[in-house]
Amino acid sequence: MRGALSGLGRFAARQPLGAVGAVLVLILIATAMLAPRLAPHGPKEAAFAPYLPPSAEFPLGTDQIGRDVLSRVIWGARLSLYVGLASVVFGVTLGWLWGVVSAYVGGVADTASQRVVDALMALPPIILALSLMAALGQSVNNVILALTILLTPTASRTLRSLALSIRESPYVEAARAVGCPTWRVIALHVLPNTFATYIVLVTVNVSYAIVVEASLSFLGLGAPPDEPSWGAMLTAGTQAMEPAPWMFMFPGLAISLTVFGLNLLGDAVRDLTDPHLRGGLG
Amino acid sequence: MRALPSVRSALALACVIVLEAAGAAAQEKPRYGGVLTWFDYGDPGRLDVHAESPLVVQQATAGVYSGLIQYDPDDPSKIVPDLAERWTVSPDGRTYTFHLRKGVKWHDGQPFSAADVKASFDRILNPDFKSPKCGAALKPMVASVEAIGPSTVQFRLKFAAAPFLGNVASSWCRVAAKHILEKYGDLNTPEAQIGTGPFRFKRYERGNLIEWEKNKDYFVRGLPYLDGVRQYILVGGPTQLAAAKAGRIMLWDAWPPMKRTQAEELQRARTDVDIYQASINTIFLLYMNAQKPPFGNPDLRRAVSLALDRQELVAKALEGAGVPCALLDPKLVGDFALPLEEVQKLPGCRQPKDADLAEAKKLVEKHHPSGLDIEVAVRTVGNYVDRAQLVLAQLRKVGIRASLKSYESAAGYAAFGKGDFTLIAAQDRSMDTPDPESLFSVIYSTNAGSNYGRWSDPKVDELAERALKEPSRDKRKQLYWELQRHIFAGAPAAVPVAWVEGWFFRDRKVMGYKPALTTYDNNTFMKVWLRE
Amino acid sequence: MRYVARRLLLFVPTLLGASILIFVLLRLVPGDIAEILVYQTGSEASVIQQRQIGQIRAELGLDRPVAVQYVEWLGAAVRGDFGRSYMQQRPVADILRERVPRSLELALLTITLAFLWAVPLGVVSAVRQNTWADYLVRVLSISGLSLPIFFTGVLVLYLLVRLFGWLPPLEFVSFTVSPLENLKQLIWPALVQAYYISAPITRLTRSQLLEVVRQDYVRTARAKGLGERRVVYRHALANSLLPVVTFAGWWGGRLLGGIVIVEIIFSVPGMGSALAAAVAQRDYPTVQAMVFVMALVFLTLNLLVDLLYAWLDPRIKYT
Repeated sequence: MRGALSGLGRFAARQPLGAVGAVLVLILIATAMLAPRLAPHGPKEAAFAPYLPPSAEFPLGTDQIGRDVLSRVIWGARLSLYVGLASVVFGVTLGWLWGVVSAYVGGVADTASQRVVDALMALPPIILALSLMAALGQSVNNVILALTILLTPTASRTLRSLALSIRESPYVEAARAVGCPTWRVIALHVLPNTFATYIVLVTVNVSYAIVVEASLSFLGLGAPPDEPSWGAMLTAGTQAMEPAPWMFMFPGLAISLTVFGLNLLGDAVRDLTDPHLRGGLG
Repeated sequence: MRALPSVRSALALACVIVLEAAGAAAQEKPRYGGVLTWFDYGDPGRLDVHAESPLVVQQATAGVYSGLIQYDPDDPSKIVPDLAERWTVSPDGRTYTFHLRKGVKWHDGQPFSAADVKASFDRILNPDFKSPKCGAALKPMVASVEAIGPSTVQFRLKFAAAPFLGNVASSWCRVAAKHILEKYGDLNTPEAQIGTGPFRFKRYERGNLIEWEKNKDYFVRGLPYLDGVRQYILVGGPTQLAAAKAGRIMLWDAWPPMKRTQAEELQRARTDVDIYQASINTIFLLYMNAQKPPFGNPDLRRAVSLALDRQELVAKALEGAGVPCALLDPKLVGDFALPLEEVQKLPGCRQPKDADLAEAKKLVEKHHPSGLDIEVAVRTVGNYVDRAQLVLAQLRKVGIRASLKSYESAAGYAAFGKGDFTLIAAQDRSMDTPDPESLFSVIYSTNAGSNYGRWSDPKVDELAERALKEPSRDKRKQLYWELQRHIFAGAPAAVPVAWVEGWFFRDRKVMGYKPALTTYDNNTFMKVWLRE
Repeated sequence: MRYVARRLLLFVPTLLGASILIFVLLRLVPGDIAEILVYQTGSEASVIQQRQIGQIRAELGLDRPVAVQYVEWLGAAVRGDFGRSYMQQRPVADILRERVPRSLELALLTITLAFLWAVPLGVVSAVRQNTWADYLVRVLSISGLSLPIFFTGVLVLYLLVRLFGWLPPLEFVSFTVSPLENLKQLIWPALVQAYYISAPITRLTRSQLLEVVRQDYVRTARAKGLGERRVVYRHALANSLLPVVTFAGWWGGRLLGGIVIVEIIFSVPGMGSALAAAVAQRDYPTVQAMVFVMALVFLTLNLLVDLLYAWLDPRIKYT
């Protein structure tokens, strides 16, 4: 316990901004998990007067059909976290498997699958997401599916290059010289060595996923509009920007703080685990 | 509902001022000159007034064309001459003869004649031509159109149809030029916008604006007063409101109407405008699918109708601007509508709702003792989703647990058209003419195009048909009353929630403008002038 | 040389692949133009509606197998004929000609502003590493990344309207008509976008500069006795800008296609907003052509940047 605490202390000292990020992320997770207890009202309860400004009774005001904005922002944390984590874990994991297998199988299969990746990446992401949502229909799970499809290609590209460079490393060459079968090489050498990158990709992409989900809601094709999605709240808030600025400001701040914290944390993790990927705080 | 008391009374005062100003203005002499500015809520894209149906197309082209007859710009409930200077009806009510004005020229200088009228209506009435507005209204009643000489046109009807004149007066039934139709094939392009109306089509910048300029050779001497009309294409409420507040648009009499909050904001920002509440001839409906369980069962349809709190929906979703419960709105169709006092005492509509809710619960329990789980569809357009939320909460009170399935606009129409839904929480429908028959031919008849729930009641079809063909106005009224009462007593798949109203504004400079009874008419501005 | 040939060869299949993907995806979306045109009024009897839907589909060739439709589209596209927009009844090429310059202008403005702002900041941050200036710049960058672009856009719009009584432009004025008016309209969306992309540019400049400064050849230059500033600016900056250029190439590709959300918020009638509207209206030819152009631009820019990279720094090995 003391060792863990002092470890955390060292982390905070080496990466002060990362520590700030970690705190923000912890707040997000806590809010999401404790939503039913924390939120004073349900997220879809349209029981109050509309367009009420922030007050003691409704600290963040009410929206256009009389729902408590504070409750919706709190429940929104749960939705964003769920969508963000699920889509990124699926997307990066799929990308990981795809990239590593592609790197090792090599040959035509590798070239072909990488062309598919290229083609997917050439499409403007918002349009791809928009069309996917239009085709799949609006539901939270479909948002996760669409985001997964969006995230997989880039993840596979990054992990494939990493897998290729590992393939050239002495350990792997030695293992193959000794006659180790490919699958064992992958399982014992490649996967563990790509794990750090995997973690970094996950932390970096969660904020991207949250923002894309909010953008989809902004364009009307995100999660069903009655769900407390921060993006949908932002969109509804833009319609009443002047009389009720609280409607767009608070969800927007919520998204920004979440993404801010995740970015800080992600950068810190990247600096610590993989100095080769330093593009960040250095 | 929170509204600053001062603003609310200002709104009420504004209504009074409009009436007084209208009276006072009747004495003032019209002034020539100036350009009227207003807006279009979307980009029309296709401009063919015969083939298209969105209001944006009507707005973009209204002043360019003339019809045979029109709704009077000074009194929109009356029908007055346009290209036809007079008309006669045969004693059996099946032949209408229109005598056309002479000496009228198209905007490109070509002479106008009866051949143009025949070409336009032949096109509209062609069974293979998609004309969802004028065509859909006239095809069931018109047998043929003939040009008798250069200045006379005769319509032969299949039966004596009372709504015929009202339909021909609609701004969707405009007269286009034969030589233009032959040259371009359709009226979709800006080049094909050659009409006989008070304004010429000047330019169309896609996504930006549409502009008309004065037709100096308009066949009514002395008109129009304006030099031109400019409509900006403004997408989105905030942009439209910002333009209104900045004085860049003079008029908001289109769809979508302002919300109460926007009207209040505008009143605070500008004291030189009149804000008024008006009907947009649109009915807010809830649909159930009568071909599938559970709503194939009339008991459950009745339960939903009893559970629905229409007054709450009007208060919250329409911000108080609406006429709840009515199948026909007296403000729009006059005495063809059942009196509101009678309608608002009917089960489903009466307040307080305790008795109705109890009965609804019993009906649901009878068939689904442990409650009913359904999926409710809604298109993510306007505030339909907000309305759906309120409906969901109301249904929950009687044991119907609903989850929301939202559709993007196009996908929603596709699903509804195919009958791919259980319950549609909110879907509006605008009427094209102020005649009561349109509601029944479009929504309640068995084969009606917007009868998404595929509900069929032979008595409704029979009464609607008789009312359509009945020449005597009194007898028609009796038939429509019987029809409305019959529908209310039954378990229709389309439940009328309210007739929708909204807030509009007009700059005090704008004179001579009277909104029509439908959103589609009276956008020609032929008698509008600007005060200085 | 082999590398260049390989990259060029792979360009065409990738572009084709992207166009096939969107072609198929569009047809998986429920509701086509025929259904939209007919169902949105719902005035005519349902029997008539079904007939009309069939008619429209036959007219537009939507009743043929997807593969046939694609091949026909491709054949025409290669000749520069992108077909006619379903919604606007005019050649898609005309729509492209109208919209592309606007998105292009916005993109150029954005990139210029972003670089003018971001690169000097990155240099300052690297040169004064771990001082207050450095921390300030790093926080600014991260916040730029974290504020989602639509939130920044809405916030800017709100402040403009509230504080300055600003009005979104009612009429888009092109550069050729009035440069001043045009810039006044585009400056706000450009600033919002520039702020967003400047963050990674700053960070990248900073980290590359830091890394390169420690490299051998810089040490050598220092040993030669060149002044500190010359060392930094000539050797380090030039080399460290390579990844930044790659990054800009990637972003440029995306920007040239037009960022949908910014265009919608600031009423800029560019490619992005036209594309979103076309998807909603199931205007297949327009969507297909615009995505094709966007993919083409994106892939071309990436190719150019990769080639530039390979030419400038032959030490980099490509698998």
